[in-house]
Amino acid sequence: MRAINRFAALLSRALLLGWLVFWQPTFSAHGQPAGGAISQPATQGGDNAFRSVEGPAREEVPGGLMLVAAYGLVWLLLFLYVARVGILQKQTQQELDRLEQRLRNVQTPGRIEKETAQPAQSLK
Amino acid sequence: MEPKPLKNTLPALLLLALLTAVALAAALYAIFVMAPVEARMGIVQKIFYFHVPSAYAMYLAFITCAVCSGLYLARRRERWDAISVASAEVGSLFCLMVLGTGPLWARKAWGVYWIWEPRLTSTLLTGLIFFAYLALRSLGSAGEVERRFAAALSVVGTLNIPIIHFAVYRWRGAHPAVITGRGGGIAPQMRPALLMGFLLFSLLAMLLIWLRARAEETRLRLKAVEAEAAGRGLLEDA
Repeated sequence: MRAINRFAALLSRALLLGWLVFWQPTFSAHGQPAGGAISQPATQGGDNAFRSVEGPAREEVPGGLMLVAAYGLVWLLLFLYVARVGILQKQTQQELDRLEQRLRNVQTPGRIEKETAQPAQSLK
Repeated sequence: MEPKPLKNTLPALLLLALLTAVALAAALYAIFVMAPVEARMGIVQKIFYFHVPSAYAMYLAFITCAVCSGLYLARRRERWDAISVASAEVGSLFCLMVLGTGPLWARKAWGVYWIWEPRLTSTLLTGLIFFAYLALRSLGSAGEVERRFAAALSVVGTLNIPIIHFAVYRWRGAHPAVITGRGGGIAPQMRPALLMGFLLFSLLAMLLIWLRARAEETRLRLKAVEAEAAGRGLLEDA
């Protein structure tokens, strides 16, 4: 009698466990409300089912904005580079002119000294 | 060494600038008025008319840099070094244009800004090599050894250009091969705009290299004059 009771208890627990694992998710999937974001197919549920998504079919990228950005980038790079080269040329030229002028100022007294030295040499 | 005076090339430079301005106006007209809108990609396809010519100008500038670097290594004339530096800068500028406009177009065409496919990766690598060249040359104490090393680096970087160009045919990545030897994959109505783009960017590359080389020659002349002034004891008074 005890063995029969034990067997019955074990069988009922196995049936309950089996219902929880295999059958209960199926009932809950079918039980979702119809106004949900994800629509369920009429066939069996589960992770291997294809599900449709409401909304736009693909992501929209604004082509005009990309075009403007690309051309704007090209213009910006060009202007920045030309400005940089212009500033470099101007600063270098100013420094060069200043140094060349100083060199000319130093060379000019040297010519005067040579001219005055020649009559002295001829007297000798 | 006695510093040599710079030749007056201003009239020729102004003529080149004028030609470039005319080419710019013609190219913009051809791109936005003459060329039709592409059927599948829409108006974003017009980036193509600047993206491809800027890549072509990048090739021109980097090849010029390598040739002038080789001439400098052989003959040690400063003019070749000046043109080499100018070409490297201008090539890097066009490389930035290519790497900037391409991803903006790719975002629309491919859905992503960047993928590690052969042409894009090799272009980025070449750009990084020339950025390293410029970093080396921009060192304040860059002497003869640095110049020679940078010249060799530019030759190595230019070896990537055939890889960039033929990668799309050899490895068939995601980057399209629109211009091919069999006539190209563009509509006939689009070809004038593309040709004008090539002309514009060729003139632009020449103009920018000339401007930058002129500034570099001025800087080299300034160094020579500073050396003479230092020899006469003038720089201590400054």
